[in-house]
Amino acid sequence: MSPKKRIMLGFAAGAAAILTLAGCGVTNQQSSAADDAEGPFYDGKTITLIVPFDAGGASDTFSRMLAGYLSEYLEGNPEVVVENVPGGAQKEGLNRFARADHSSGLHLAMGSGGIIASTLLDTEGVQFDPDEFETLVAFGGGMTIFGSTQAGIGSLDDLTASTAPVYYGGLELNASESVRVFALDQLGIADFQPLMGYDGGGSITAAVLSGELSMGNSTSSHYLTNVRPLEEDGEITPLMTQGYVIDGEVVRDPALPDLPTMPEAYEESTGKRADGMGWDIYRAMTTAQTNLLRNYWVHSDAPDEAKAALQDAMAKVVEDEEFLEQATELLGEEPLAQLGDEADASMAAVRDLSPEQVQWIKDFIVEAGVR
Amino acid sequence: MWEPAFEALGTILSPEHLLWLLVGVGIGLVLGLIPGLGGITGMAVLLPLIVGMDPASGIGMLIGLNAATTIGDTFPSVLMGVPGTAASQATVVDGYPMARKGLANVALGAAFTSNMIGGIIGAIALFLLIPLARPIIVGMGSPQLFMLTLLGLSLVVVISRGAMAPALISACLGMLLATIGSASMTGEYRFVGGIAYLLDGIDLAILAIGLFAIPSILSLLVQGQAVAHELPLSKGGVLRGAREVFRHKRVVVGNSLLGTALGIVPGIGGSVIDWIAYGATKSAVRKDRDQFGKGDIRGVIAPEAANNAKDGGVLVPTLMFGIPGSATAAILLGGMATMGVATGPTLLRPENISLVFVFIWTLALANAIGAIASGALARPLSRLSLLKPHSYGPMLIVVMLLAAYQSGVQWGDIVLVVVIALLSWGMQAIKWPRPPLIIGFVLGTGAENYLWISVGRYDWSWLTQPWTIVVGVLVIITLAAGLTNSTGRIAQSVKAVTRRMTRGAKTPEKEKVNDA
Repeated sequence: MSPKKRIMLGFAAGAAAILTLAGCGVTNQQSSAADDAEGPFYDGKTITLIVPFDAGGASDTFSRMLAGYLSEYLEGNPEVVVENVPGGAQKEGLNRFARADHSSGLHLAMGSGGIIASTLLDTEGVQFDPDEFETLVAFGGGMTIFGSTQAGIGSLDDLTASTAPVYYGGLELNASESVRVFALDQLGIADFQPLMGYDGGGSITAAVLSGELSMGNSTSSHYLTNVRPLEEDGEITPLMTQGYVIDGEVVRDPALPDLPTMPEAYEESTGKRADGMGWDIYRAMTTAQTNLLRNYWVHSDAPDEAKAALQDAMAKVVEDEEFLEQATELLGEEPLAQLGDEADASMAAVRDLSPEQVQWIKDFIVEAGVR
Repeated sequence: MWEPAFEALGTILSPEHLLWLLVGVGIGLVLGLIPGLGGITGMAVLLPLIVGMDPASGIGMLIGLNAATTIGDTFPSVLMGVPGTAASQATVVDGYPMARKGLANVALGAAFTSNMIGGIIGAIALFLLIPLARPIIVGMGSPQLFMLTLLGLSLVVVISRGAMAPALISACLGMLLATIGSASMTGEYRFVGGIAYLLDGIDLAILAIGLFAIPSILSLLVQGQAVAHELPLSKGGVLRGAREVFRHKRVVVGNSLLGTALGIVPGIGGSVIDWIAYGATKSAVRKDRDQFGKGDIRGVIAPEAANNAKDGGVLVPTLMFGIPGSATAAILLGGMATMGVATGPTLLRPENISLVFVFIWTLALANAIGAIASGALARPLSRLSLLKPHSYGPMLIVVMLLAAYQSGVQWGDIVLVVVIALLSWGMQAIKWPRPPLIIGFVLGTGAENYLWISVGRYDWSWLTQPWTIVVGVLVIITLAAGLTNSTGRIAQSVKAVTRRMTRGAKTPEKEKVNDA
């Protein structure tokens, strides 16, 4: 072989490698609809689970783990392949899910409750109808607010007693963040200043440590795995959690049961009950944000046989000790899992926001953004 | 401190871990070699594989891959003038002219040696920075980060030759492109025009492929000639390149330290660090400055040393605080979570510290192995520069379009690459520099967010904070130095003064690196 040829061969091999790599993103398996009647529904098939996040994040990692267990518990042990479709703040992935052919029941999707809530506010780029998504399982995950020792915030009382401005940092002023800003604003802090635009949980932690922020937020999962050592060192103090919503009431985060929820903190510091339009919205958005942090959906057009098999398998997955252990290790807390009716009730709480309530959120975001 | 270090070394040198490290390095070299693909692709593909893997092996594979991509990417940069990844764009400027003179092997040898030295210095720096990580990161508040992005932006004037206005317009255009998408401060969408694809803004990988890689291949095809006609230094060229590096000790060590320091600052990343290293070296050397751009070996050493050194710096915020210092670091963090390794302050606990050493050893080892392997491949691969472009150009364009599509799996990716390539072609035609555009794009988002937070938090009092002033003075010196260089004779006297100032400011600059 001449050197030239050898080089070209090398390039051909390289090109083949790329095609394989590129192919990893697009695993659109066509269904073989012919083999019904005999054997389990999913026997020998491949299910595609669309994850609208980048590979490598917590949601992707969790979904890949779940996919393995789902495959194990589904009769016929089909392969469950995760397809990452990031972009458009989950909208790209869910659009693709909505467009897929569901007659064979081979497409599932993952998405956050936050996107379901935000489709009410912001329909730009939304080509899917959440009412057509049937929840197989929803995993929860809380949010924790913590104060900066450096900035003199060691307790809830320090917040309300502070005469200096209290700075609260977050990533992005979206619908989910707006209710936390609302709740903190209601506490009766003399000069409350939300600051958005930090580029990650780690940046917020660093800003809280230096006292640039008086308090910051973090997912409870990130808090437990990454931030807690700083609590033990006395650098930060956990203040409250966003809580979960069970039967329409905000209850404490089981991962951090000693911390009051935001409505509790409000009632304690003002003596008033957490009622009214703002708090109703808080409860609805908290349902979306924490109860429904990670949802796994099948499309309503999928065959009933497929849905039954998936529901059945998912119910077994969330009971599996090994799965729960692995999930706890990954997230730092055991995720709250809601199946069937429970998940549907949580979804309905979000979907049923009235047009006035939606407008209220929009106005609040504008108002908080220019503050 | 020493016991966990040796324990980690033992772990790393066991056959199993060494094997995974080699797998990572091997894949990394191939991905680096193919223009358009890089560490992010590799990380994303390897990630599912590491579920259930022993953490040390997983770290070996991911870090090995990451280090090797910035080594392998030198091949296309030098041999074809097409950057292998966004991190070796600046290598093209002098590496490619060297290949045209038939000195490809020398350039490659110098690059790999610089990669190795840079990577090892980065690893040592990571080791030394462990106790300092916390004060550094906590000390970098939003005002300081804003000023550092300004310092990066001010280097635009140093890098650019000739007229200043096109360079500045190009940088502004980059900053403008960075504003597309959702503005996190207010939750608004900007300049998306109802196109769903633009909601997330423009991807850096897409911009880099469109801006540098595709136009380079197009110009090769238009010229229609092989890059070089003969390779006079086919034998021994690599070693000669390596020797050249040792002749320029200050360039290689200085840029390694610069790369590490820049790596620590979140949000800068390889696509800008190479240009900054190149620009800083060009303005710092006194001898034969006009050789830059015509095949000066220092122009190869500087970006290559800085880019491998940065990996050590990037790991400081990534590991110690869970702040991903770059896009690949973000995926790495996900990988750590998959393997059940908690990052952040917990990692510094005595029971976990040996894992940090696994990172350090792996980084050093991966750079050494990657560089030696590349050195061995240099001779056969350098014959690529003898090929006629039409035998590989069209295929490379297809590969790069696929690579662009692969980054987001959306048709918009391909459309955008073509649009940016056309823009880039146009900019080349009217001789507008393109590096400022990418610098503006990368630093624009950070500059905007940090400025917003600084003003929201401190009103204007942040302007009087000591470190704001120190970095601010550096910005002014950089601007003055850059602008006077370009205006020729009238500025000769001013130049002498600024030089004296720059020399005087050397010490605070080093302090800034340690303390910023």
